[in-house]
Amino acid sequence: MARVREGEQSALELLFARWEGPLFAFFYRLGCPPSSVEDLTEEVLVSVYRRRHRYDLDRPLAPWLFGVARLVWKDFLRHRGRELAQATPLEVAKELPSPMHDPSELAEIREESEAVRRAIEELPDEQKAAFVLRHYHSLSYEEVAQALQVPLGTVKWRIHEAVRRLETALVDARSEGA
Amino acid sequence: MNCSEVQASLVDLLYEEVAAEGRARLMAHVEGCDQCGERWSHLRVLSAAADRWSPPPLPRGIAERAVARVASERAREASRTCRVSPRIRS
Repeated sequence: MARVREGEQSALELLFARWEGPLFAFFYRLGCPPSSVEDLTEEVLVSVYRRRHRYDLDRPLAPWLFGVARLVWKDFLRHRGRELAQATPLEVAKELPSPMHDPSELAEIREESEAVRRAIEELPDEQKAAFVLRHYHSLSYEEVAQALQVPLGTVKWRIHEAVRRLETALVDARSEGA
Repeated sequence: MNCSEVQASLVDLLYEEVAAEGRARLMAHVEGCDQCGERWSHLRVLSAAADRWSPPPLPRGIAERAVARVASERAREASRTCRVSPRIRS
């Protein structure tokens, strides 16, 4: 990031290449419409460049960068309307369990994964953002708090509440499958 | 440590937000308690199920388009600087 600030082109290209994937995955899992996920990702990268002088080089980059993503996301929700932020049908999980599982076990695992995915999509936005940052991007609670600009206790509550809802969805899926 | 204290900490345990000493105490309880052990196992299944949700393949060209936009912004800034400079000198 220091080299990006100095205007080094190769550093900028490296930075963008490093973060396009995580940002794309972030917006995708937040339930942004597939047609907007690419644009939002691109917008964050450009915003990161525009805000490069605001970044404190002594602090970790990920929370700051996802903080920029959060601003872009909020702006998107404000201007494009909630209906656009509703997920369109998304692909079923691609990573299949090991072939060691028998077919009925495999079907059960698929159903559980699908139930959890749907439950993540249905989380309230703020819980979803906190959960996605912690679970999929491995930010600590403290880093999630920095990214979302909320107190640590709030992040902890949001993640606990999100997990509680997902647990309920998983229990429901199991009882329906039984 | 009683069950309600343990239950309140299991999500933090899952997300590695518990210090080593606390982690050892929690795990000792979880291993010896059916109810807490079951919830812990449930949380791990949940975590694994969430892990199986992958985003689609990354479309090509996002970073390249962002780099191009930045280059164009830099060029505009440079051009503004060039236009302003003579006036400043006069």
